[in-house]
Amino acid sequence: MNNLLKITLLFCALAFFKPTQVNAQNAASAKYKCMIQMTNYMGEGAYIVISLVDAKGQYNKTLYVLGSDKKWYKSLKEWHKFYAQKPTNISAVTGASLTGGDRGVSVIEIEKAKINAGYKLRFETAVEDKEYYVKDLEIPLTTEALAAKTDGTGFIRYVRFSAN
Amino acid sequence: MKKLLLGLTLFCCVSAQAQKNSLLDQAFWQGKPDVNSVKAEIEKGANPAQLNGSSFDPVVMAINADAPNETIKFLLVQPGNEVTKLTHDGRTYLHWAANRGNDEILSYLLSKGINVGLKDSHGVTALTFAAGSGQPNTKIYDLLLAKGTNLKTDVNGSGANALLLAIASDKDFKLTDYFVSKGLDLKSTDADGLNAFGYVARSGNIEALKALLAKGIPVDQAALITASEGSRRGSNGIEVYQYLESLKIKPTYTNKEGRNVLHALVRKPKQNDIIAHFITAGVDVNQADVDGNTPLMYAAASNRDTAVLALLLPKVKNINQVNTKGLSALAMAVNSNSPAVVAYLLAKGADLKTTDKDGNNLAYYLIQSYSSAEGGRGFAPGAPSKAEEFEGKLKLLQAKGFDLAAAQKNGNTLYHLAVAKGDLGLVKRVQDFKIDVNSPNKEGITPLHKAAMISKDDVMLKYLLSIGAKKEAKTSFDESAFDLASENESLTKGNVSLSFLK
Repeated sequence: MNNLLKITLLFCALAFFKPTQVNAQNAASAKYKCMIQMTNYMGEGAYIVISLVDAKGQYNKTLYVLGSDKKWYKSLKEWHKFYAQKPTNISAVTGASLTGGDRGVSVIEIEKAKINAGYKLRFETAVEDKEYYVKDLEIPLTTEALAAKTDGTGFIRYVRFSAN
Repeated sequence: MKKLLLGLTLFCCVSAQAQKNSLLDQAFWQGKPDVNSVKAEIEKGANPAQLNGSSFDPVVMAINADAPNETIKFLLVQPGNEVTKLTHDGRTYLHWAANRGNDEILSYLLSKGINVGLKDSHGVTALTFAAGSGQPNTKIYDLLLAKGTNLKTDVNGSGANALLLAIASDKDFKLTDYFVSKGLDLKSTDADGLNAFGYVARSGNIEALKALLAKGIPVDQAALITASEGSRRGSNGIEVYQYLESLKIKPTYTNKEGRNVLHALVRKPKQNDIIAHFITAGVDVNQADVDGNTPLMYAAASNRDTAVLALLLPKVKNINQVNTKGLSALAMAVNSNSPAVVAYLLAKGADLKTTDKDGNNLAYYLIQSYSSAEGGRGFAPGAPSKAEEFEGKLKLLQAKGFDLAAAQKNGNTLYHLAVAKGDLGLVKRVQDFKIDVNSPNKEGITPLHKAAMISKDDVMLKYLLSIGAKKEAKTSFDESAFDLASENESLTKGNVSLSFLK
């Protein structure tokens, strides 16, 4: 196959793909896969909450909760203060807690206007009878971060993002 | 001789495995040991800072056993026993000292700057923890209040203050009077509006309830529910319910969580007469609480007496109703109850094909119920172990033609689930079901990958290889079992050689 043909094919491919891409971009929010890999800590399942926080560190939105038994939500102390004041229905973004060495994939939906706009993603973790990490992981909400792997500081070994 | 040696070696191994730390032995502390006895144990190798499986350490055990204060203070200066240390249920030493009414140790901890306002995992401070157990030594509260604790704002997760928490076990109202003298109102209510009458109803103390009415505290409609929940000391007799009903409390009362009197009663043993009484009184057996749980579900999950099911079922509209997580009564019985309860529900037409919100079927819950013989005997002595009950429930499902080899919706096979339980015996048991050990789940994780991620040693990994697991398989992130095991801190800390996975 000569180069000209290759370029032509590439053009055609781009021409065909572009419309769907544009459509996806027009939507007000985008979905990302977020894989949380836990360290091999000893103990019960970790409760983890992924929050959108603003530049001042104020909670803006609960993006995902790993752990479904409400009685442990208090242990995610800082987030719980926000959640208790403004309880929202989080059943659609709630999954199972994660134990040592385990991993879980959550699909989180982020408003596009919040990306590259000074917001951060906070991963808060708590384990029964163990530590509580208000910022096990906190990353600036940027296009780069949403395609990267970032290490945690507590029960989380790393978090890896990818487009959904 | 050889056999004897082998026996001795085995015995030693078993003892070593149990990690016997004499300072974590209840019996040692019952003897109220002095400092020298504790020193002697430490010299023999006992660790004064180790946490047991429930996160109790020697300091907590010493405090709870009322060991001599000098002994407790000696333990408190050992490395690893700092005043910031969290123990069982996220409690500091201050919680335990307050709870035991040990004002000397409490003062000592306060002098070391221990955090007075720290809440445990139930949202309870040292002060409310002590109040909740009715600790009568008011010096405890004096000391904590002197450190700036505000009785009015120091409430538990339900918004209950010290007065409400203490009153159920405060027979002569001495502690209640103390809290009133410190500014709390006898008419206090918690976040749900439950008052002192509701709190005392939990203990079923009719005399105390009458005394409260005489003091002008109004009848709380929720008292029937708190009475049905009972206290740690046990359940209430029918006379308590009769008394409450005589005060015009509606038997059909439903609280904010959507629970009626049956939700708690059906979980307790020997309440059948009371349950029958309330069913006759018109209490709805189909009432779903905020989590979607009905009395039938609670009974199926935790009452081992099928007679309770027999009481409820004639009025149950749909035996296959599910809660908000998608669990049916049968799934709950498979998860945590006996073969007899499972058999009973099956005989009454419970659906074998039920799946929860995540698509997990009964096999998933059967695996969750598994526990190796050791430590699985949670009930009365002589009761069947969880391992025996697992087999019983397994046979019942098989007899009904249940397909144990089918994967869950997320692609997990019984191998994945057994590996996740970390139990080699269970993995061996799963072999009987002729499942492909290399079948990945929807995230591309094989049972070997799962074992590489969560294992603490190489036993499970080597066993999976021996039954045909392929080490070449990659996850959807292009990781091999070797890659995953190399990241596993338990394996690296234990210097486990991973070359067998290459």
